[in-house]
Amino acid sequence: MKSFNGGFMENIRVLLVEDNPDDEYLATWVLKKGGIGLVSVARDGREALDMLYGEGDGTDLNPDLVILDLRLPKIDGKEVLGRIRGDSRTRNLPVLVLTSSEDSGDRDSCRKLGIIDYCSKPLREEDIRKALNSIGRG
Amino acid sequence: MNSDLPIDFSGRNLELLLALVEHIPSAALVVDDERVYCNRNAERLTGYSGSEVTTFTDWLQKIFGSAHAEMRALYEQDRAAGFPETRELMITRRDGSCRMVEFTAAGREQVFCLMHDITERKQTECRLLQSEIKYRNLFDSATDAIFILDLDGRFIDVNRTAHVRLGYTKDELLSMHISQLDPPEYAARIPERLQKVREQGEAVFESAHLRKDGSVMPVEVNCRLHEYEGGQVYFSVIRDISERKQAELLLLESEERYRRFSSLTTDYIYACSRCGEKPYTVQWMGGAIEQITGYSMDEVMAWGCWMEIVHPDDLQQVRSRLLALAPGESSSDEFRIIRKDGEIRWILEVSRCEQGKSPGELLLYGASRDVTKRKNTETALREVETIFNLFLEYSPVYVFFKDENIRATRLSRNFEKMLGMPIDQIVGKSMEELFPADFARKVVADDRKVLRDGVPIEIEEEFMGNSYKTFKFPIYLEGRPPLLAGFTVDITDLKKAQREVLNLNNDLERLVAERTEALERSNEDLAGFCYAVSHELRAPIARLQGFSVMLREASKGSDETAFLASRIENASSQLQSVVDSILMLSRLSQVDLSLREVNLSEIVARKLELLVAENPERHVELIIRKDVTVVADPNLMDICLDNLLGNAFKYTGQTSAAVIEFGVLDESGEEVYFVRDNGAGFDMSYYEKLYAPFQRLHQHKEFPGIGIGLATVKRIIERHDGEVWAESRVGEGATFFFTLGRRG
Repeated sequence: MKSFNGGFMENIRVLLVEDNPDDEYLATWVLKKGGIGLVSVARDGREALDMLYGEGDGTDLNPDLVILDLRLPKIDGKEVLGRIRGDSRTRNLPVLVLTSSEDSGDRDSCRKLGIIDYCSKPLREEDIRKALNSIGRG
Repeated sequence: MNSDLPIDFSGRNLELLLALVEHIPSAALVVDDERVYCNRNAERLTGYSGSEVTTFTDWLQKIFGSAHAEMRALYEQDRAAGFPETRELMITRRDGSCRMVEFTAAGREQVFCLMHDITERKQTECRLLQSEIKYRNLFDSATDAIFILDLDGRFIDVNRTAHVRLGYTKDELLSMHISQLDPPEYAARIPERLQKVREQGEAVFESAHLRKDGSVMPVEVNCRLHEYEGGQVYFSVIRDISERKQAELLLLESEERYRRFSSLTTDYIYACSRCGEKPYTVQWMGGAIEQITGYSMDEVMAWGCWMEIVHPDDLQQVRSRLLALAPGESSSDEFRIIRKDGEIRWILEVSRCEQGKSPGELLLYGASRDVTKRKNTETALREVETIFNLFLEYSPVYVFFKDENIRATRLSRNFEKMLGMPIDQIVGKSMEELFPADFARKVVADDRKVLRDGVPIEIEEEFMGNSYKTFKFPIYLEGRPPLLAGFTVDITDLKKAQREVLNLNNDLERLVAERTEALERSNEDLAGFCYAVSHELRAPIARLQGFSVMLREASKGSDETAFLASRIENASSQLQSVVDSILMLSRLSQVDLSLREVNLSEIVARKLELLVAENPERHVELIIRKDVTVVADPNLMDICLDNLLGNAFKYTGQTSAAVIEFGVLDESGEEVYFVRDNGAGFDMSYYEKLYAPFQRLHQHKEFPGIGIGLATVKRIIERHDGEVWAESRVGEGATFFFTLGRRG
């Protein structure tokens, strides 16, 4: 299996926000297959925000890419995206929405908030490749 | 008698004389001084016998009464003169009657007297004299001029009227000839006319005489031949007929004038006369007799009586009315006549009876007018009135009429039941007298409003627990105050039914609303369910796909595992298409159309080129009509054409010289778009199944698909208010037509 960019991928940190273990497994598998080693997983929106901004203990994650499912327990994906865009620290943080929904309304509202792609599950290697290209890390 | 003759009547002579005297056939008397002797005739004349008369004085007293002394004196005077003349004396007889006597005497000592009774002669003379005077008076005072002419035509005598009227003196006329008195045209006819008088003894003719002043006097001459003083004369009575001529002329003019008037009048008029108990006969008729009766004046005059045309049923009435009229009375009557053409007409006749000129003659004047129209109108009016009353009697609707003071004038019979009193007690009453105060006030206000505004109104009223609908309107009759009329219908039952219907409607509406809500909820539920199901299915399908990819990667050279992994991948992809299609169909029903101008030709070209590019092994001829633009939702049209073109491309997959055409037809003003291919086509007997979701007409092996494409097309076209239909034969391709109702 070839890494996406010949060896610079292991430094790329990805926050995968996904509540379904199967989907988490599949996505992680594709990311790892693409050579991305640092994958943190948040299992609901609350957890994702905590991980992004820490709890004041300096443990806050500073990911290069957030892969965000929309249907999440506690705080759903769209709100999480909103909070990310609303916070100066993460205003420019690349977010890729990964969902099994084909709702064009969701797609449009996410695009307005600023995302690099809106992908249908299952995550495919070319989705990752395109995303990394668009953030200049491919 | 000569008194000079000496006669001695003394002695013997006297006796002789007396005997002689006795036999004289006249009344004779011998007077000797105071002695007197009367013969028998004298006794008969005076009525006194000789023995009754003692002396001459006594005789004189008896005969002359109070005039005896005067008579004695006259006698003595005549005796002294020798009785020179006879005297006519009036004596009074013993019976008191008077006689005229001629007295002749002679002698001196003895006087011999003769008395002749001349009473008869005197009377005749007297009569003659009187007659002459009378004749002259008549002659002169006659109102007609009278000429007496000799047989040559010369005037012998004329009366006063003649010369006065002609302006001549009597002497002038008596010196003239009759021909000088006539104008030439009449003068020429004189000999002929006199000839006629001579032959017939008399003749009457019209002529004219010239007055002295030259003016003409029309005359009627009545001329006879008369015996006169031993000869024959013409005795002519000349009547001045100037006035008559004038009157005749006036009469003619008057007749003419009347004839003209009567030709103008639309009435006819008549004059009849009758004597005694005889029926009237027509003397004269005029006016519009022919127009009214159809008979000419001559026909009616020929009958002598216009009763002929009177209707048999009215004849007795007319006849008895006319015969009952006394002079000076008038009457009028209406009756029917039968015209010559059989038509019946009504006549109004005014008649007046007058006394005629001859005794027992009655004149009847009448004027008759054709009043058929009026009568017919009256009859029609009566009929209308009768019908109208019947309507009022039996009307199920309350009908009323009120005067300008809002008092009931006429009402339908059913008001008796409503108000509980007979109609004749309701008529004339005010509303306040008929209804409770509040109700009456409202009724009067409405009525006054109708009369004031002149506009009909329709109102609903409640009275004694019943509902009524009333329609009121004004009636304007010329020269009369406006009337109010109206109808009232008892709508109590109707109201009740309406309320029931209303309640039912409300119930129904509520039910429909409930059901609709339920249906909508159910629809929403269904849409939501579809949406949710699709979403819920997508996640596991995505996982299936993910894991099958993983499985294929993990097969590590095991072809069988890799094959099975790819079958799972295929199946899950197919499942994904189904779910996506369901999602799209459910979305198609919900999205709002966003209409704008769409160039269908460009979409078609792009899609076909893409298909061709994706399937380089296929050779398809494309025929695309350029610049077909419509107003539609671009996204939906994209999906629609995607399906139609996809089908065309798919079903020409096994056709050697495949042709796909897109074009537009103009069918009676509506543009019909079509996508045509020469592919496999389908059996039209399955046409109905074509648009049902998940219905397929081909085996999957031949042409794979899930059967949702045409259902999608149909839904999109219908969202645009258009229609879609297809024509095909197996093996000969298919053409799909569609219209876009919302275009433009």
